[in-house]
Amino acid sequence: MRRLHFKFYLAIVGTLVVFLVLIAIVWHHFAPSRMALGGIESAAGLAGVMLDERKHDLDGTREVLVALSYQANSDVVLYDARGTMVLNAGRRIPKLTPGQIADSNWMMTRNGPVFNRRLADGSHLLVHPRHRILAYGLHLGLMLTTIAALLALLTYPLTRGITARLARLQAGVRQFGAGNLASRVKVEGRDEVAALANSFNESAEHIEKLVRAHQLLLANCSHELRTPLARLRLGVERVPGTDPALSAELARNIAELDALIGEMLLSSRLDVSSGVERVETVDLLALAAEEAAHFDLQASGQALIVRADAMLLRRLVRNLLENARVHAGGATEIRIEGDAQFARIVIEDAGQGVAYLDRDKIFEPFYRASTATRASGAGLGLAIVRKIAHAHGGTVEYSPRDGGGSRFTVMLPR
Amino acid sequence: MQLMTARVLLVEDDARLASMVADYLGEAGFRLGLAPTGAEAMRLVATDDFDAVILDLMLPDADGLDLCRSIRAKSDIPLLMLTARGDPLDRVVGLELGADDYLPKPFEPRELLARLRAILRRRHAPGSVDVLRFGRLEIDKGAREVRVDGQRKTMTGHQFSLLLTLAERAGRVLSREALMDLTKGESLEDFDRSIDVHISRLRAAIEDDPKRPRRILTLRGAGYVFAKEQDR
Repeated sequence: MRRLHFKFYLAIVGTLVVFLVLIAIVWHHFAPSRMALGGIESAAGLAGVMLDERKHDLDGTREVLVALSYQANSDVVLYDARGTMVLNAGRRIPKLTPGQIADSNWMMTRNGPVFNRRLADGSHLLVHPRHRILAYGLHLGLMLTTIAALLALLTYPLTRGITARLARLQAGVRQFGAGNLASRVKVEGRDEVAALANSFNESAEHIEKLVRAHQLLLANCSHELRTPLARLRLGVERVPGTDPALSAELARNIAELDALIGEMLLSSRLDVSSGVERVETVDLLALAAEEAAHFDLQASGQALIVRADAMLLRRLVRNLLENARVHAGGATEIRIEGDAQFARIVIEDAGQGVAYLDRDKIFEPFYRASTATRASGAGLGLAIVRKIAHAHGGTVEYSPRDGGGSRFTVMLPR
Repeated sequence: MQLMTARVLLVEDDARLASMVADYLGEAGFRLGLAPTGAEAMRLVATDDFDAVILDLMLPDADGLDLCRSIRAKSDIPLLMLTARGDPLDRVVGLELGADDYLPKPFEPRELLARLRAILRRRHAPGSVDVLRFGRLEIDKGAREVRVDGQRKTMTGHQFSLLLTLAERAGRVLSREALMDLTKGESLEDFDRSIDVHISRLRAAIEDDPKRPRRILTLRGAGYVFAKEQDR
């Protein structure tokens, strides 16, 4: 994950870099050094005009050169048309080649920029500014870069500070998501982050209330619904002179209603809770064998130990076997397989199988496959299987059995 | 003391269910006392001389689990918990807190009677701590006796050892070799017959239908499992 503070920081550093580039461009076009160069050009031009006028006056020429050297703060040298030095003011400028001095303009030498003004008689006036113009530019650039680097350094904690609150907010939200419904986040400051924290706390409050209400309802439902059922069950036993077959049928209906209530409550409870509450060491093959025995089936396979909620795993196996009994005339095989990472419970039947279009939907609550003929149960059996598998961090999958029928494979992490 | 005239305190807030249970148990020969609240139950347990308590988990003024703990702190009276089915946590906690047994609503009236009789009988039987219980099956280690529904089942000493070995490892797959090793030290009998024969004898003794076993299960190629949850 790219951290937010890093992105902020990148934006700031990027802005600084762009700023520096812009400064460099502006400097290049409008900098004072360039203006100073312009001044040198003008002064040299003026001096050239003056020298053109007093051609043979050596003192006059020297005066002009000294004045130019003073005004432009430069070393000034006059070469004749053959390239021989005539006069100089200030330091001497190393001799230039005839090729170099052929053109009238700025030229770059080893000692820096030199302005070359060609006079009317073919001689050359060379002006070498004493300022380290280029060095000034470099110096300024270096200073700006240093300031930018310092700013970059100083803004890092700042961006960390802004995003640290977001990070704390995220940690709080994650805690809530992990099932700690009572957790709230601290509201810091008065900006959008604080508003977000506030909104989250309000939502969390609301969700907590709903979940608590749901849990209370579940806890009471079971008791409230089953007390009248218990009365009914006792009543059936105590009606004098009842046909025993009728009593048995009534008792069966009560048991069925009880099972339905149980299914719906379990399904709701699995929805509310995240993960499993009671984890113990479970011998999967033994558990499968026990459940299979109630369906007159023998389990086979590897003896595997998993950490799981045994009650829920029993329920999972029982629901799959019950599903096979209702829809496919009973399971033909239950076996336990596994490798280093997963334990698998495989339950097969030799029924009609599930139509291709229904395969994704059979694990949804209250879904009835198009080929299902008999209505039995609340339609929650396979939905509960999937919820239990998920609660254990596992999965359940349907696949057609080789030779017809269905195969349900439950994968549980070891 | 006669079991039939035992006095039972029923702690249940639903008056109609309470009176029906009272009638039913009354007809079976018990004398019933009723307590609709936890406070009343505590008062009656302290003052009256009851032989057993049937306790509903959900009461208007108290949590049945707390009440169970309070009663247990004062008396070792046999205690049967009633609660809505499907609360496995409550069941475990209830039994840990000292309830002698547990019955989910809606219950079979006959099962209530059987369990009530069972906890009363256990309380009067000496050395009852050394008894393993699996639904209706009891394995009494002290008396080296096996009972189903309180009825004693006969078996040889070796078969008892084999059963005990299995039962003490209920819910786990045991191979034939492991079973041989585990029982070798205890048995003085000839061990000439295969384990499978002994198992089928045991099944004949303790299974309701030996052909469709629910307690001792065969795992082809792997061995045997003694079921953890029987008679559900």
